[in-house]
Amino acid sequence: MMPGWYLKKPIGEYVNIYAAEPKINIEGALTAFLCYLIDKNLIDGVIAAKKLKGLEGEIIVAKKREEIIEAAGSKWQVLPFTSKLKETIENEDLNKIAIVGLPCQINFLRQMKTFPLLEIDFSHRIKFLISLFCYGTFAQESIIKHIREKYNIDISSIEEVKITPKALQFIGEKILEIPFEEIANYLQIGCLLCPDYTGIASDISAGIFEDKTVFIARSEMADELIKKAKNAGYIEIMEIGSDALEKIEKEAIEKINRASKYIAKLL
Amino acid sequence: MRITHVDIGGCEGCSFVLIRAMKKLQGIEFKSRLLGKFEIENEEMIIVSGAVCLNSEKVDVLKELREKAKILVAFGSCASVGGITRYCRGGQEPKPEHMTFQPINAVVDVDYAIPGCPPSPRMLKPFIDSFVSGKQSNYMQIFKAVAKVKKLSGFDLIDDVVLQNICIGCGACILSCPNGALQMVGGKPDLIVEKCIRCGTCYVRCPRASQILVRRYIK
Amino acid sequence: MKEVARIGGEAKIIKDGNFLFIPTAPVRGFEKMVEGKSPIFVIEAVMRICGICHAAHAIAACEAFEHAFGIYPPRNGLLMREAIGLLNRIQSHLLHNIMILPDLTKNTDDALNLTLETLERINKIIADLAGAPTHPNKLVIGGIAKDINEKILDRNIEWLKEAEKIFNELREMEINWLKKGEETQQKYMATHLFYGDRYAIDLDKIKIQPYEKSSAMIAMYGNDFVEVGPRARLKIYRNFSFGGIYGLQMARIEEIKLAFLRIKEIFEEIDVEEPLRTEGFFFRKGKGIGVYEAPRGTLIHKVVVNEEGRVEEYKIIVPTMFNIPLMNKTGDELGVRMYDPCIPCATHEMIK
Repeated sequence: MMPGWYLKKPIGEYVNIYAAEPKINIEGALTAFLCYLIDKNLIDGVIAAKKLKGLEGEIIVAKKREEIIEAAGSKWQVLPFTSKLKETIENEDLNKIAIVGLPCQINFLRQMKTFPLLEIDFSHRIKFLISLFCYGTFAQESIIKHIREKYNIDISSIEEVKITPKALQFIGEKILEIPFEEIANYLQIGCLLCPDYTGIASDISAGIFEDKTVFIARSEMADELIKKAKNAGYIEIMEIGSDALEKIEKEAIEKINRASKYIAKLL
Repeated sequence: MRITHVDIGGCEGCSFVLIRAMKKLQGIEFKSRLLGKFEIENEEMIIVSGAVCLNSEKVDVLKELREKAKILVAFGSCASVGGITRYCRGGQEPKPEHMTFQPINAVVDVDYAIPGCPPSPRMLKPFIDSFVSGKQSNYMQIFKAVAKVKKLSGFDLIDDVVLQNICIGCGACILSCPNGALQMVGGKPDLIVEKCIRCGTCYVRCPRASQILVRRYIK
Repeated sequence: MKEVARIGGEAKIIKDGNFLFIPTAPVRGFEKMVEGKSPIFVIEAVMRICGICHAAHAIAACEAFEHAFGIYPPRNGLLMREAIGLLNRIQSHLLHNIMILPDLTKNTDDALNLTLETLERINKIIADLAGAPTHPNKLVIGGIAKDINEKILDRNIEWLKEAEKIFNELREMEINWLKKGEETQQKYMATHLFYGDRYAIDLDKIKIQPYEKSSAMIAMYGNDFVEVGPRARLKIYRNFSFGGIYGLQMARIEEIKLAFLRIKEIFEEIDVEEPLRTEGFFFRKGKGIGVYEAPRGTLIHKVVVNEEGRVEEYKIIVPTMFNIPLMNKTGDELGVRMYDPCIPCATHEMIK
């Protein structure tokens, strides 16, 4: 969590980095990979965020392929884990779950797995931690108000949010493009203190980078699984090239520097 | 590895957690008053549970333990950050003068402090492995930082993180409260004050709070 | 003066003419701590008096508050509470077993493993039904704060059966080590075999007095020293007879056996369609007494609540207080250990 620790390896330790595409008829390489895991019974549940409407979402426990597919798509917000989640996992007695979350969530789940402080910690039920790339999440009420007041658009009419090299696209009836400099004012302040772009505590980090899905396999086991998923025909994987790798590292370093700046201001 | 456990005023919950854990680990020579008498000699690691009563002779016992230990670990919320003993007032017969209970770092320097009421026995293996293997994960820095803190609770979490506007709403604290004293309201945690026993687990799990701990006390 | 090992807490023995067992743990003072606090906090706090008989304190406190407010948990809630209390009783007796095994046999490894295996399964059940294996937070005023269904109940019945099987192996071993001795003329006190009954004894007859220079106090019933605990319960309600110092351990083993049977009975009786908790009541002015048979004997919590619904006065009388004079009568360390004293519990009393 300290920026200094991250500077040596801005995107963390890894065994391999791939660009991935779904091969089965599903949108999103990560969704396809999760389908592989659940179809082959390597996991018995996935905890992920499902989009409701606009920027709203909820955490779901998906036990079947259809439920995972329903939850696909970017949410652009951190959805909190609640005590209900823990109850659901225990009541259903799931023992090998994969959790898809943001770097901050994956970080504390990794702490819970490595050092289970409470007897009621459910970390022994977790098999994979999958982190998404994250540059920060929105302060909900602020961004909603801003979009309504400046662009006259109600957030509930937004179907999807896409990221382009210079801006965020809010896609509803029309496409609203807001450049990064403007959007940066509406990130949560707590997010500005975070130095973790790719989620270095995960088993696999998955993120969208310039229209490609990038998989970072951080352990031999994770690498094996990705290759198996490819052989089983769920995803296609390729080398990402040193160019793209450099750009990802640059983003990560920018986030680390941003964090150093804001931590110094806070403490 | 040789590990010795001494309890100086707790509820014995942590003591039995240690017995359950140590019986499962290989290569540990474990001494505890619950298992048999022994004298404190120069010990490799002394694990202390229970808060220290500043009005009792335990203060001297603690100082002696610090001298004789290479590594001193505060185990459980009472020893690390005070826990439920933070609410103790004294005034109760037959020893009304037992008024002040503090975590053990009020009297001696502590190397690592592990909060939890009580901590899980599964906690011991990775903790001891860090010493046996020589490789310490970054998370051990958090326990080093907690060893320098006098109190950690849901109240501190709200004060230091939520009210400072650096909470991101990840839900780590909610999943870390043994009592369900934290609930998510409007995307941010809210504290049910009657339920908080000041165990400190929520604070060490919070991404922002643990960052503050390490930054303030380690760097 | 020498320190006693292998008991639940810190104590010394003085042997100069008289034999005196002196608890020496510091007084955290829970009776004073909960003054002015909300009843919700009191339940969480008094549990932490003891890390071994935690649920017993929570149940006695809940009973005291329910008596003060004039409410009752639904039948399902009372059943589940009894089950959790009995599971804690098994936990406590097993933890005590770990400590006394060296007194019973030379080679303790097998018995120790069996004890720990049973304990792990019992812990799993308590964690599933009551929130945590130590300091279970689902015990609340009004019942149990958890929803259960057939699936949860079934898996706990499975774990219970496993635990019972392993315990039976341990029991076979242990009863061979317990030598029967002479029965002494002794008075016993207990209020119920499995739960607790505030009307079974005359609470006005309980007297508390300070005790030497120790940090505990002792209790009497009328003018008599009485024994409380497993042997007392079995003597009064099951006509149990096993004299001598090992009689206490034999009673503990019997109690665990009975507890398994009763818990199974409770699990079969629970109706998953019915609620486990009474809701919608007020914290208001009142007085209440909760009497519960903790693992070591009769436990009494007395509360006075003011108009704001907060605690005005709180008193706790703990079983070890009754047993201390009897421990002294045994005259040796083994006798003390067989009585299973709980020091964190015993250092919390006020003069009446």
